[in-house]
Amino acid sequence: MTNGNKSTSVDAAGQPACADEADGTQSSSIECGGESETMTASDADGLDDTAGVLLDERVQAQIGQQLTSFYRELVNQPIPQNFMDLLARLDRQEDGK
Amino acid sequence: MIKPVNDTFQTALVAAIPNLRAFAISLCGNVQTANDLVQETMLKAWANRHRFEEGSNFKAWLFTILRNSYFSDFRRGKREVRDEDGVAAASLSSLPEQPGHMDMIDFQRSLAKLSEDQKEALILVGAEGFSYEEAAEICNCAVGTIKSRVNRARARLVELMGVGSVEDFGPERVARAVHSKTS
Repeated sequence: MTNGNKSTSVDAAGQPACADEADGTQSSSIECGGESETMTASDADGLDDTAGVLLDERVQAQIGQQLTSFYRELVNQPIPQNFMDLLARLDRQEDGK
Repeated sequence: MIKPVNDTFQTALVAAIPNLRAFAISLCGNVQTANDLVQETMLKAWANRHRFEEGSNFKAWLFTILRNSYFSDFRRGKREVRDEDGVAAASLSSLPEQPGHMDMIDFQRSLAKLSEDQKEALILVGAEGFSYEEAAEICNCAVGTIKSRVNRARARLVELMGVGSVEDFGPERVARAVHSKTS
């Protein structure tokens, strides 16, 4: 009973440190960046840590894959013709000098 | 006489266009704005080509010009750019329908909801493959700042996309797991 209370309070203490990261504010970035010790400490407390890490790896792999394929699609899009026109114009300007 | 130098420069510039566009579209979430941004970048790069230091990272130099242009433009026209959901699907709608197309649109919609700082860091490191050091130089900030932005961007994407059974563990717990693993 007392043990349960202990880990709950650690969790509750750990959350506010990162809760404001959802807002993505500048100031919180520094705080959260330096918060890793606290987080490691609360993770060391155990609870469902193993499950958390497994989930993390799976989810991160999925997001990484989506990010990569999203970006690859964009990179593979054809270059609009007016880009090449612009380059040709710059080149001609140079020649005209 | 200086033509060969310009040819080399131009060849390198052309080679970088697809990546500049991909970065610009990721940042703007809008193809038209992104194309304007890339063209502005090309003009600035060309005008300043004599200031590029031979042997340094040309792509990083171009990306720096692009992101600086973006942030000065963005500040000027903040209101129009912030229509997150409205513009989200625009850049991908021209792609042919294929399996996973909806996933891509969902992904872009989530990406658009990240803060500008996080989005930029995530794309540079996670998609474009710049090192943390290179990304820090491009964004003109500390390496540690880039690392923490990338971590928070990933954690935020997990929340936004509701991947898997995140609910079972609670987003904060997952976010912290992400943090402790990557930091």
